[in-house]
Amino acid sequence: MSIMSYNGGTVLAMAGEECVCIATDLRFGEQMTTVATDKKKVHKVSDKVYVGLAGFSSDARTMLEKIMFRKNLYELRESRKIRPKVLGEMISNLCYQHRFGSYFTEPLVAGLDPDTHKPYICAMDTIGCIASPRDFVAVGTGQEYLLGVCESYWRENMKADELFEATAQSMLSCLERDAASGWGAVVYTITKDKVNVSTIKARMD
Amino acid sequence: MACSFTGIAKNGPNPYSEMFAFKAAMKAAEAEPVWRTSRIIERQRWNPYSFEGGSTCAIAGENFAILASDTRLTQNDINILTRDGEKMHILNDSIVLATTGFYGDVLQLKKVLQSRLHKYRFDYRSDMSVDLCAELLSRNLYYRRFFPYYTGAVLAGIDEHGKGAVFSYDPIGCIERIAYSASGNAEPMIIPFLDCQIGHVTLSDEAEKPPLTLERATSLMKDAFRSAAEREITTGDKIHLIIAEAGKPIVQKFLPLRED
Repeated sequence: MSIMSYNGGTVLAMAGEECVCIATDLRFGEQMTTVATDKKKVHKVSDKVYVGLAGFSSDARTMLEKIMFRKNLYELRESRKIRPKVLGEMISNLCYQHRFGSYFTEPLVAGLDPDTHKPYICAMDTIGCIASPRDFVAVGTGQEYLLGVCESYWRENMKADELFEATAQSMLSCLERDAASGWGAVVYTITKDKVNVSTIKARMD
Repeated sequence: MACSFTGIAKNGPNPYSEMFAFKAAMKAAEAEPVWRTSRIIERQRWNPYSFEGGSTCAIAGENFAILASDTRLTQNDINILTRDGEKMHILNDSIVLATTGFYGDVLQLKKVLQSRLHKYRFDYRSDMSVDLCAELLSRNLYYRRFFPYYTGAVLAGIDEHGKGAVFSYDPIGCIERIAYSASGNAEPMIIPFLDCQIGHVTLSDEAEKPPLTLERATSLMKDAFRSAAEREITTGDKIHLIIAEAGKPIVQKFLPLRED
């Protein structure tokens, strides 16, 4: 079993019209054993910028600390909020600095631009190669399951409630088949006025 | 050491011995270079199997069964061998076999089943039912337990009661009768979609669930393959659609799919 699927976990982000959704499952395991059932893999970095870290949990945590450190330094120096695109670029650089001994985590960034409210989503591999499509990105053990359903459910210019529905249904369908993820999901719907956090029940096994 | 045939002084060291030693070392290094670890040598051994990619899918309804597959065959997941290779085979008026995996085994398996069905028809003067054929296929797969047919088989058709039937197999004949199934490279993409749309696993118990008509099943099948072809490189070119309806002849259709 690969180190990337040692702990399990899946993160998904979808973009809509002036809104983005980012969803995470809640399982934390050690191979076949479930250790915790309330482990969020999505973290708030700034007001409207969230980062998801799937993969090996210890590395994800180290990576998060490094990301927060760099982001705080950036905001202090520039005295303005970080934009999601800048954060993505920053994490990519951080990953590539460890090119020949990488952290076993695949970061995902989702957020709204603080000024224009333009949605931004991106995912990268363990060494920081960014993919920033206009529709959706997924990382983690359930990636393949998600890409199939998301391809069917994503539409252009979805409003926040439609986007939430598409994200939640995709995530639930994925959790149905991916044994390494599960125990419910948390969906963050980021709009320009507020961030809506909803916990949804899935297969609890 | 002395060398008698060279005419070189017998009491000095042999001037060729170094060269012989070098040649021997060179030969040994060529046969087994130090950088080739045992793992790599193991990997370069001949493999009796190859994989031609692609996907198939089947849905069972109240009085119908519908199967679909793409028609692309690939080599090493990248080279396209053909754009109209058929992964589905109509065995008789009520049985269709859909298989992915090693195409050589797919063809052999089809041949074995066809000859067994032919013999059954000769012996019993009637066509085999899909339930019997499902069991037959399972036994044929398990017969090769230790050198399996490397295929992900899906057998579908209309059973004796006029109901749609879909059977799913693993390469060594583990069999299950289910409402819908997929196999092949895009299986992880198609299955959660069908879970959601046909299994309704993501809906609450109170929610209204649309009935599975032939029209709905057909359009779900098309959607599933179009989204799979979008992301999965060995799936594409054409959708081969086979519809078996109780009391009607089997219908075949080819629909376009992305070709890149």
